[in-house]
Amino acid sequence: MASNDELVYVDQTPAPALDKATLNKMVWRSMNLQASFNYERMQAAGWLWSILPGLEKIHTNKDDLATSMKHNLEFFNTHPFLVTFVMGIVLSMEQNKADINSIRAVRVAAMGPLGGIGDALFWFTLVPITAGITANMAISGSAVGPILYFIITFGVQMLLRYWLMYWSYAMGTGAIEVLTKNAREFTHAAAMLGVFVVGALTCNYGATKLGMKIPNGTKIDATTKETVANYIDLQALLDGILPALIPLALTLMCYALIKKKQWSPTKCIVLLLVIGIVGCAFGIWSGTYTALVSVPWH
Amino acid sequence: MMRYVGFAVLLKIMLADDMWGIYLAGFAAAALFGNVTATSGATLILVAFIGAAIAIYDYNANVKIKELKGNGGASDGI
Repeated sequence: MASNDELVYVDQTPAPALDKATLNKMVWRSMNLQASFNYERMQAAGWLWSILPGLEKIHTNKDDLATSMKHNLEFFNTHPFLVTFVMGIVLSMEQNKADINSIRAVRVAAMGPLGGIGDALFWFTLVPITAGITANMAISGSAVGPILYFIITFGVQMLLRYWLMYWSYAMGTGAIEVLTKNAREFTHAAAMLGVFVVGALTCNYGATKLGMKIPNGTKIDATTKETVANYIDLQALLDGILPALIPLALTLMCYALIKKKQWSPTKCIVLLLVIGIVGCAFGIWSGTYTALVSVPWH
Repeated sequence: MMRYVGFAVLLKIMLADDMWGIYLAGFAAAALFGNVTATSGATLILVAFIGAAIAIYDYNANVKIKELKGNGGASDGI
């Protein structure tokens, strides 16, 4: 044991289907998804906490439970209203003791797009519109405003959470038979989708940028016709080579250190901290801060 | 910055040697959709569509190969 490279569960007998009480419990627990949020694995701890009742029912073998908890503690980030969809599918796969790599790949492949859909539907549409209307009611002195806001946002998400949990759990259980028949092929395809999505996340979530602007004489502003200072923007130059080059390079660096040099993730975190702090001390990274060392480019 | 470690851990486990192109393709797709005003809101959904197309194609192709080989052949998974 004691490595997170287990690929199959010891106990391969499919577990009995989860009862309604457990599923409901997990729906309520999913409210804690964003608890213990952190920048390394984001919602991973909340995710494991949410599906833990199901995992405990499914994995009666202690080693299997440990394996399952370990791989469910990996990077996870999705929209909190839609998380039960991922939970249902993952639980149906866990229940059938699917290959661990396919469970992982399905989880990764589902979380990114759901995050995008959820942001567009809820954070940018439902919540602002509800808040806009009910806040107006509150301003004009109606006590119903805040109550209505709570009922709508909480009601919509609870309905979604319940419905998605049951729907995706049933769908996953229904589809699993075909998939276990071609388990190897499915695992390979799911891993491809997972890797594809991680590639996209590297670009989409990666926000590290250079803040170095090297003074380079003066120029005449095109609109105001005044002489203004001219800079060489290094980030713009990097974007010309490859957009999001730094996130890609840092990810690949961590990958190489973990894979080839057997570094622990904690060691990588410390290294990134050092890179961040030293970089900011010399004004290399972007942001509105004062560099510790006075440098010409920040 | 810390999320890069999370990505690296996922890659360590999922990234087989034949999948480097897929990783970079996902990166390229997100760079493209994410920087176009019309599609930047739906970047990850659009990326997932492409990823799903690749994955389904790969799945179907490998299942067909397996069926042709008969039950004895095991395709090279991860």
